[in-house]
Order: sequence, then C-alpha cells, then structure tokens
Amino acid sequence: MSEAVVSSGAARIRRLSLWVLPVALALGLFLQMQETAWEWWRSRELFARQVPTGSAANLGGAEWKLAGLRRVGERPDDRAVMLLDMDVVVRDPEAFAVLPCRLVLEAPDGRRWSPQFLTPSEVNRLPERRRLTIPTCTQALASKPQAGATLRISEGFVLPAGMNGQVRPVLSLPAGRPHYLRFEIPD
Amino acid sequence: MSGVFAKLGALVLAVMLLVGMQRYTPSYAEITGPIPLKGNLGETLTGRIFSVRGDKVLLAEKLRFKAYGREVERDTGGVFALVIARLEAQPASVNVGSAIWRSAQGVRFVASPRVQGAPRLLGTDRLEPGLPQRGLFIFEVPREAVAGATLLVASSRWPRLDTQVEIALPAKPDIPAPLIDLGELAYE
Repeated sequence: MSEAVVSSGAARIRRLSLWVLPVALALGLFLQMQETAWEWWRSRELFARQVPTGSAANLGGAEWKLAGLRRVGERPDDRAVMLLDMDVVVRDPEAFAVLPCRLVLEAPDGRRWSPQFLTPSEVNRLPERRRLTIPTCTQALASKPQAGATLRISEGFVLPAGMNGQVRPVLSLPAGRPHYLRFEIPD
Repeated sequence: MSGVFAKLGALVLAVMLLVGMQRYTPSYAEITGPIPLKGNLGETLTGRIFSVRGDKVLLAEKLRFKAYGREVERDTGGVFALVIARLEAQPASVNVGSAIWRSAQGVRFVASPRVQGAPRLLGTDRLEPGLPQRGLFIFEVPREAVAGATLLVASSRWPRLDTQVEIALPAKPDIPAPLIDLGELAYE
C-alpha cells in the first residue's frame, strides 16, 4: 500500500475542521437545549424577595400586599384552619392573567402548605365575610382584570395546630419566576 | 496479509459493539421510569415528596362499611386485601394518587373502586406536611395473587423519574376473615 501525499492546503483545512468541530457541537447543543433551559429557568423559584410587613411588592404584573393571615378555626386531630388575605393592584393585565398561581404558606424548615377548600361554615363565621364572595388567587388571575383594578384575594389552609405565627406566605407566578415573594408577617 | 486480518477484526468488533448497544441500551421509558424505594412492613420509607409506612395486611371475603350515610356490604369472587398504612407529605402538600397491589407473578391491581366512600381510605384526600394520615388501601384480588405480593405507592400511576415505594408484603398471609366491618377496624 502506498502513502497518499497530502497537500499543505488540504492539511490546513483538515486541521481547521477539527478545531471547528467542538465549536459546532457546542453550538448545536446550545441551540437544542435553549428552549428546555429557558423553560427550566422560568419554572424555578430561585430568587426570593422579602416583603416587609405593610409593604407592597411587584410580581407578575401586579402589586401584592399582605392584608392578613389568621387562624379562623380548628379541625379534629390537631389541625388548624388559617385564612390568608392579599390585596392586589393589577398593573400589567396580560402578565397577571398567566396561570397557575402558586400561593403557599411556608414554615422556617421549608415545609409548604398549599391552599385548601374551606367549608362555608368555617369562613362564614367571620362577620365581615358574610355574603361576600372573595376569589382565590387562581380565580382572580382567570378573571382577567383590567389595568388598575384592585382585588382582594383569599386562600384557606389546613395545617398542624401551633404553626400560627411561624408560617409566612410565599407567592410565585409564571410571569415573575425565577423571582418570587416571601411576605413578612407582623409579630 | 496481517493488515487485512486487523481490518476484518476491527470490523467484526465494531459490528458486535453496535449489536450489543442496540440490544442492551435501555429504552427511554426505562431511563425515565420510577425510582424504586424498597422496604418491608413496619418500615417508614421516605421518598422525594412523601413518606409511607405499611403496618398490617388483612384479608376478607366480605367488607361492610358506611358510605354516604348508607350501610354497604361488598363480597367478591376473590379476596379483599386491606393494607393499613400511614402516609405523610414532605416537604410540601401532595396527592399520593396511586396504590398498586403487585402479585408475585407481576400482575398489577389498582385500589378497588368498589369501596368508594368507605371511611379512612388513603389516596383520596391531599396530604399535608405535619398531618400524617393513617388509613387503608383496599384491593380486590384473586386468591392466588395474595402470597408474596408487593404494595407500590407513588404520586401517580406511572411515575416518571420519581419515587415509587415498594413494600414487600407477607409471603404466607393469614386466612381471610369471613367479614371485616371497616367501622370497627382498629387502625392504631
């Protein structure tokens, strides 16, 4: 067998091709993963913003303010029923209407309770709420309010008795992620 | 001549490698399938989003319970298998929506829909952190599917890259009781 004679031009092209190959592979991977990486980034709660008591904070096209978090009743087996009220001023209706809303109560050890359906008897015992229909966070987002609209949002939670004063509301919205809000509660 | 043999050897090796890779590469479903967490009765098994402890297995030919204000009695051509268990969410609220009785032969039985409304059925209410639920998984299975079965518990029926707790159940179970009244069952 005879050795083929390679011209210097061909050798240069071959060398260049070898150098370009890793770059092309990396670029291909980046283009392929771009959408997935963006989805991941937008779905994670990575940066918490602490909201001091009595203050409002912007997230997902609205200004959010904690209006109240209180224990309103008990259920058997040492379970407490808590009610969370938020005041919202809509600034960007399009961003605000993106579902789902993730409004939870968080303990210092990282445990999180999602909202739960409360029976009318548990809510109606509060005089100021009788004959009032206050939307949940998801209902408020789905109602697609106009810019400037002011809303009261309310969610119910069932958690172990004794957690009163230890849990803080945490709000995360698709249009706001990876940022999310953690509200300080009054002492 | 030796060069020809070397090339032929390399070719055979490459073909063998490719055939091996084709035959033994796990499928996408296998790679992204459930992550098993195995244990026994009485052992608390903690997965990614919930913990579970199976305590006891009871067998019955008939069940009696109160559902939606009515007394209900159910019988079966096989046997009712009841697993008393404790479930807890951690670190966040979660629905544990799947309990499967897998027989020693590999046949999978989902929890029986014939006992809807029975008290303390697990998997019907959402779990909350710090509020463990103690109750029952109820299956209706053929008698030959009882010995050496496994209880599979997961957040969904086909978990993807998520915990599936696998609790080994007794290899020699007790004789089925003629009737179990769920209202009189001791869960503790």
